[in-house]
Amino acid sequence: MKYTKHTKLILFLGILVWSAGAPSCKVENKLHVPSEPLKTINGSWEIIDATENGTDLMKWFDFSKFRITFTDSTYQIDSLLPFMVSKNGKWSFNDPQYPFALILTPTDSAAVTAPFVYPVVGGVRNMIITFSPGCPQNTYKYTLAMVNQ
Amino acid sequence: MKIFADKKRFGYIWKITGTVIIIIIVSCSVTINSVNQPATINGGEVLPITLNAVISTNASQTSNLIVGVLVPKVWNASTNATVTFNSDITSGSQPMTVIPASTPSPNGNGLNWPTDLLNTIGHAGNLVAEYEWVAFASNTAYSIAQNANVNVTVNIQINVGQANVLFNMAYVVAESGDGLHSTAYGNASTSYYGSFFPGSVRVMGTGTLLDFIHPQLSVITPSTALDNDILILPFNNGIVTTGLSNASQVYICATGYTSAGDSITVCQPSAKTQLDSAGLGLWQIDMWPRGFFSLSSGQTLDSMHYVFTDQTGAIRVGNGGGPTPFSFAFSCQ
Repeated sequence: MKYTKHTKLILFLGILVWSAGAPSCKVENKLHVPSEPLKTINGSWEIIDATENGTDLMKWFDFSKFRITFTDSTYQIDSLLPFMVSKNGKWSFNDPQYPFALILTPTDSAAVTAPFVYPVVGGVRNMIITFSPGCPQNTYKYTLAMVNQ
Repeated sequence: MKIFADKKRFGYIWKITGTVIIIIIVSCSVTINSVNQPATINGGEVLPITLNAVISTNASQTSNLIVGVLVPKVWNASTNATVTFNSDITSGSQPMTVIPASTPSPNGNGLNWPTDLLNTIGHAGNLVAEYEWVAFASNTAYSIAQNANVNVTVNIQINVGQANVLFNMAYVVAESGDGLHSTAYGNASTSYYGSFFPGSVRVMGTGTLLDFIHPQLSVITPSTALDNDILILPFNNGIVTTGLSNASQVYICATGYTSAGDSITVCQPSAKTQLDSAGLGLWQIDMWPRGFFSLSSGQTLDSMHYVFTDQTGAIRVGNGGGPTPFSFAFSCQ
């Protein structure tokens, strides 16, 4: 096969372009697929915002003493208020990686599940839970923050 | 040179046409001309309401009819109301269904229809925040021709239940294409919806009258609550002169009646029983009855009686400003 001058030039340019681009096609082995971390809520939490049927309760009701402390599998409540549960017990998430529900199981009664949101506010995680401790038509939304040690 | 002049003229024509096209926005206007609504009804009956509305278009459009009704929450109108309509361009009664809370209203700042209605239309002078807007949409969308006037008759049937109620009604008719286009969110003022305030309905039911219209000394919200709810308990001392009109401190003196027949009285002036001032004679205390009455885990409350007192306990203000206590029944009905 005989190459013309023209074909050789094209071939040469083609190899030049390929060799310039070739390194960028290398698969980067050092990067890993990002994995969503398991969510942990271990620690002591306090109520920083509360509404009942959308009405603010913080101005008129004293939530300051309430604490809920989570350890690896159990929770403990101090200074009880209207809440998802009224007894200490065990806690879990519906999915520890992508939690959308907090499940509290008091020692003496059935599990209670509440919709759970875990946003980052001001650089720290807040916990927003929604539940009805009295009549089912009354909805409470509590925002909790970790107590500074 | 001639070509240049033509091009210039063409440019002007294009700009003017474009502006005119933008000004004629596809829109329509809705008016409610009259509302037929009984002034009184017996508890447990069906409240029949008729709205007579006109929809006028200046461009053809296809959308669903929307009807909003302001009702007391105790009626649970989203399940107890039936809404249909008849019109010039439809034959027979057309069904409508409650719009789910997850559906945002068009031009409604991302809010759903009930919230958009409350922000835009208001609460018709009802003083107790136990009201709600319920919005219904026609099950199908209808095409309306350009420059048409369509008469619409909306029929609303609400089973009002047994509760004794005095309430100011309000109605809205709109369409799903434009929504309310509320000025509350900076939209231009339009006539995309029609509203009507026909006045009050009195349900001759059972139990204490839930009066939304006249200012009262103390109405607890939420009106349906158990002892594990937080009661928002106001003392509106600005509306009439009572023994506590000049008081600088107001306390609550309450007795809870348990389901076992016991009574627990908490009457000592303290931080726990003191009301906070909201100014203009308005006082408020938010109470968690289980904590307030120090109930044990086996005890539940059936009802509560309460009066307001001064620091000495000598002055007692109850129902209507007299000495008879206010009462509240713990129930979810």
